[in-house]
Amino acid sequence: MATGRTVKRWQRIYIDGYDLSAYVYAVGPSFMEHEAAKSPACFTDGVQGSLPGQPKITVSELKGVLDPTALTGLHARLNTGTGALKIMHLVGMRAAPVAGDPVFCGVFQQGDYKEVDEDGFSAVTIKIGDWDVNSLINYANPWGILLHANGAETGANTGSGIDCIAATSKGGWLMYQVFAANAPGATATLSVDDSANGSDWLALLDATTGSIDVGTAPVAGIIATHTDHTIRQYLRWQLALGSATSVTFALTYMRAR
Amino acid sequence: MALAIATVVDSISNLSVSGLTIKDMDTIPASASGLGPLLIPLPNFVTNFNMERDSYGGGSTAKMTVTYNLNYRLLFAQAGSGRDLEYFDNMVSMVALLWDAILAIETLTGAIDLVPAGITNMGLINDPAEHEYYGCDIAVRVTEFVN
Repeated sequence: MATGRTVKRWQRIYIDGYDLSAYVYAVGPSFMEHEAAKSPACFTDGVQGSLPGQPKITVSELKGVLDPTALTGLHARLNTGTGALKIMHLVGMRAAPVAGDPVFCGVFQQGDYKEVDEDGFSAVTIKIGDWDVNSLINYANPWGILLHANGAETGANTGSGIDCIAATSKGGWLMYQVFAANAPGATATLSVDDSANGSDWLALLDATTGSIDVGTAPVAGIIATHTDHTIRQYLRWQLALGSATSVTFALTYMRAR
Repeated sequence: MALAIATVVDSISNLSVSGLTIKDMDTIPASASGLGPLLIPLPNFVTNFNMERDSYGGGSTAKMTVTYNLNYRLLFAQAGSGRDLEYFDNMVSMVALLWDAILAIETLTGAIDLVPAGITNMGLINDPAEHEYYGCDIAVRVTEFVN
């Protein structure tokens, strides 16, 4: 991972196991916002305010090209205009995203799908709403780091992982996006390891997908661990092959602080 | 990071375009005669320089985005060395090949981004020795991060 600034073209957007980056030219603003409760309220006021520590989280809007590519294109994936989307918004640092780069993840409700003219070409805008109520987790920060960039693996990880500077004790959550595997119905388990020193690794408690079908269709998901888990300083991706011999995926971890 | 114009120009000279030799700032020939299609830096090589501060701080710490044009001359074929119009489509095709090479750049050492910025003077132009050539002037726009 390079440090410093970057530019828009190195961002990527993965949704429900599909890499839609080649169809999208703008995402965001991706944000979480802690609203202050309004007070005082009168009996006739509508209910308003916010829960402490529970922000509004969204990627706001996607802008892309209207491309009718079957099955894997933006139009094919999102033209229904509704539904919960597992979104991974990656910010590569002056290059395509690599392990250690920042990511913004969440499960959001799609709000619409609009065809618009954008300086002469047919574009689409897609409103992304709030966090999906059927996927609520006890974490307020959608920003994490990329542990495994979009690519294929054929075995377990024995690498040194990512140095996150310090251990934390408030748990965290992961998001996986599996793009492909070697065969329909093939299975594998994605998980996260942590380490205090970058050399002695343990499986991070509960941070595992369990055995999942990675071959029948692209798949994505989030896994939250308990909010009092200690997460040691170093993190790395892990893969346990079931019947699969190759899995193409991206994996991120959002460490609570 | 300091400005890396020399690095950027070196990177451009290493682009691969079939049939075209791209010259660095320190390899401009005194004459293009007999050298085949060439792309050479023009005397007004760096133009439209612009800098924007992106953060607080002095010159050694403030993040800055710098953009500028680099101006090149494509010397395709010497005038009078053949029937004039027989060069025209090949020259245009070579311009397209050059743009293709630039558009295909993933990353360019020294620059954050490099995009085409225009073509001018297509027709008869001069090489450094004032020989007339069929060619054109080509500009690319470079973006660099400083600090």
